[in-house]
Amino acid sequence: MNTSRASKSQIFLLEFVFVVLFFAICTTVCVMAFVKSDRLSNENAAKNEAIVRVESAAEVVKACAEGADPMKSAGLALEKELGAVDEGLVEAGKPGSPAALYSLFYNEDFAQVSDASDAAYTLQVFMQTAGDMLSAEVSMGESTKEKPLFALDVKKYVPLAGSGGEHE
Amino acid sequence: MKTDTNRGKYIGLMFALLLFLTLAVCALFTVLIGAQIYENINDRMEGNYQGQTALTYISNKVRQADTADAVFVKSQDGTDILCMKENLDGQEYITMVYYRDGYISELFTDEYSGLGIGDGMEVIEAGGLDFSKEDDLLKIHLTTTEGKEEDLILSLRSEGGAYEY
Repeated sequence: MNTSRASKSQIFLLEFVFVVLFFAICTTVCVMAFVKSDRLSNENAAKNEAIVRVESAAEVVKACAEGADPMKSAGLALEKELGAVDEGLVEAGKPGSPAALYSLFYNEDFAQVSDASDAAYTLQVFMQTAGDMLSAEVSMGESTKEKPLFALDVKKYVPLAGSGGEHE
Repeated sequence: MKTDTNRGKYIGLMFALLLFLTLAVCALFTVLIGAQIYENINDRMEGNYQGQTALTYISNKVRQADTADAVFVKSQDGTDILCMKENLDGQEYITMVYYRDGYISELFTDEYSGLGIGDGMEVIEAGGLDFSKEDDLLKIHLTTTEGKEEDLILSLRSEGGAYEY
């Protein structure tokens, strides 16, 4: 009798263990799905914010790059309209092809900050001229990651760029 | 002997109860986590809809209407109005986009019809909308109903006046 009762308890407890194990597996899968969906939603929201800001910077470059020094005029417009920071001339990889880099910094809520150390996101405008063509790459991404959230290429033909004189 | 049996029974019962409670608490926490994440995703979608959709709507309107001198900003009764002119079958029409009474509104009308900003159609809910134009740059400042601020700058491709040969 006691042996039978003990064996029934053992079977019951074994069944309970399987139930708990099954529940643990299901809960793990559910929590993983929840966390992934939250992360995807967060990434999409960040991407949407980046699109608006990159578009604005690209529009400023497109509108204001003109004259004998289109990079400088675009850079001044970026500083005035968006509060961009001039990172100085950079090595373009092409000898004799000047380049400039402007940056804007944003915190986690996409509010602009002045200090790069407080920035969660960075928007960069990399401009270079080749003859009469100004090209710019506007990209925004997380400060700690290399791959940008969103990037746009801007090209503008500026006839007087680098010529030093008027065309007739 | 009987005491040992009773004690064993109680221990078994306590263990089963404890396990059941642990299971119930874990299930409850899983549901709570799921509900919180669903709420977060919903909030982000709502914010995205108000901010991005409104700015995309305005930028598409401007791009469609961007011809020489067609896009300009005026102020009426303290309200910034984005105006876009177009010529249809020889008749001048104007599309006005502005913020009024909690909504971004649009009014498409004949320039001399006499209709005003009170006659527009509500497009999307918002907290505020301001426009300013400086040379070729049109600046849009949007405030959502949650108080979040978004800015967009558009460059008008078409300059004013005809090209002189």
